[in-house]
Amino acid sequence: MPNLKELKNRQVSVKATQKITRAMQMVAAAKLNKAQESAQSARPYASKISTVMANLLSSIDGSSNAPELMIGNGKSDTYLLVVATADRGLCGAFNSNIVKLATQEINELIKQGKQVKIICIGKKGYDLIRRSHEEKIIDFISLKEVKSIAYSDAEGIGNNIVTRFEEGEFDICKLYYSSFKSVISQIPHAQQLIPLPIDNEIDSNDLDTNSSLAIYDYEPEESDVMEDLLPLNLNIQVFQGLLENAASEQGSRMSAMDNATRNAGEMINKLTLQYNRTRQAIITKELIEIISGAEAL
Amino acid sequence: MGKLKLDFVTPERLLYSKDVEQVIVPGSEGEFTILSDHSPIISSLKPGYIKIYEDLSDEPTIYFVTDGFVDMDSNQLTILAQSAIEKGQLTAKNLEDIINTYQSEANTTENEAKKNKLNLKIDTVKALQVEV
Repeated sequence: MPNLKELKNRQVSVKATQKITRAMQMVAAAKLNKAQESAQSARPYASKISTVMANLLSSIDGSSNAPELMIGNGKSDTYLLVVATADRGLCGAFNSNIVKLATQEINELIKQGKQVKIICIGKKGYDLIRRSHEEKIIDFISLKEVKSIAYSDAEGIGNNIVTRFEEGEFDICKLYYSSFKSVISQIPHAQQLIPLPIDNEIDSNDLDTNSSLAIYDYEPEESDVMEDLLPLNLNIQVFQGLLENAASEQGSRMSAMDNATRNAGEMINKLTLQYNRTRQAIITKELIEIISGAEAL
Repeated sequence: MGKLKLDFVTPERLLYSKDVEQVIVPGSEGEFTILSDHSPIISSLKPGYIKIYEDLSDEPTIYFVTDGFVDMDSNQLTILAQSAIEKGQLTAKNLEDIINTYQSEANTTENEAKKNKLNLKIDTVKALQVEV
């Protein structure tokens, strides 16, 4: 028969855990609101810049002197994977989902004989990837000190990537993050940053509706504008990814903690039942002892 | 006079989205004015003031922007600014900070052309600082 004291102790500790998970869930819910808001307010800029990029792309289509950031350097030997995860755990499968997707890609690329380099954003992803591919990680960026992601954070990472590209460290760059669909659904996602993926369908649609595309004026020269606009576009993509990631992390943590709170509740119920039964059993046993003792006299 | 649709965005948020009559922007090759039916143009910006006239008879709304682009196409004007501050809230301290970021960027870069560009920006901001 389990010890009463032991049962009581377990009950207390599960209750304490439940308090923590409930608090975490509420904090995550509040943070999620904020993260969602900032992800939303960044959307107009991202959609505007992609329209401008689409305009530009269609106008310089086919010219061979387009910047390398856009069309790539013609090689595909070395891949740079930027894996963005959270700095904190206890958020369900959020981190491991992103890492799983990235790891699949890494193994695939290695099988094809490609070189792989990895930049990790966020400590959790770094810890997970380090186990299997430590020698491939060339940089680790932690955003732990950052309360809410500002554009300047993304700018730093973007500039980092562009500098490495210009130095010829890699040929193709992909960003891994989790896109936020809803509180219960976050989908890990890979996005190519360099060279720019050209969406032919959208381009041709734009051409149909907009006849003025070909006669853009550029100020200063077209190539100068491109030179400024391309890194900016990359920064924005990174920024957008980080914001989506932040919202996903909070959403994922919220549902994970909600589950944990519920499980703790179930466990408390079970323990309480067991405790009461044990208590009754002990009382009954003592009564029987007394009665049979009296009879024996 | 016809109107044009203006969308003024920074990475953090959508600042301004309205039909306006005239916008004056600090293009990197010089300030220029955009009225409705302006021919399609993409221009980069240098640090300076964006003046938005909702109505030509009214006072303009003025924003200070650091970097960015304007894109004008079939009466849709898009201003993509890296950062924007309303003129009333602009202080010499803000500008000082901006100069410092440019300066540190200029110090770290080895690209000569980039350095020149940054120095040019620093000069422009310094000139504005005198006014403020």
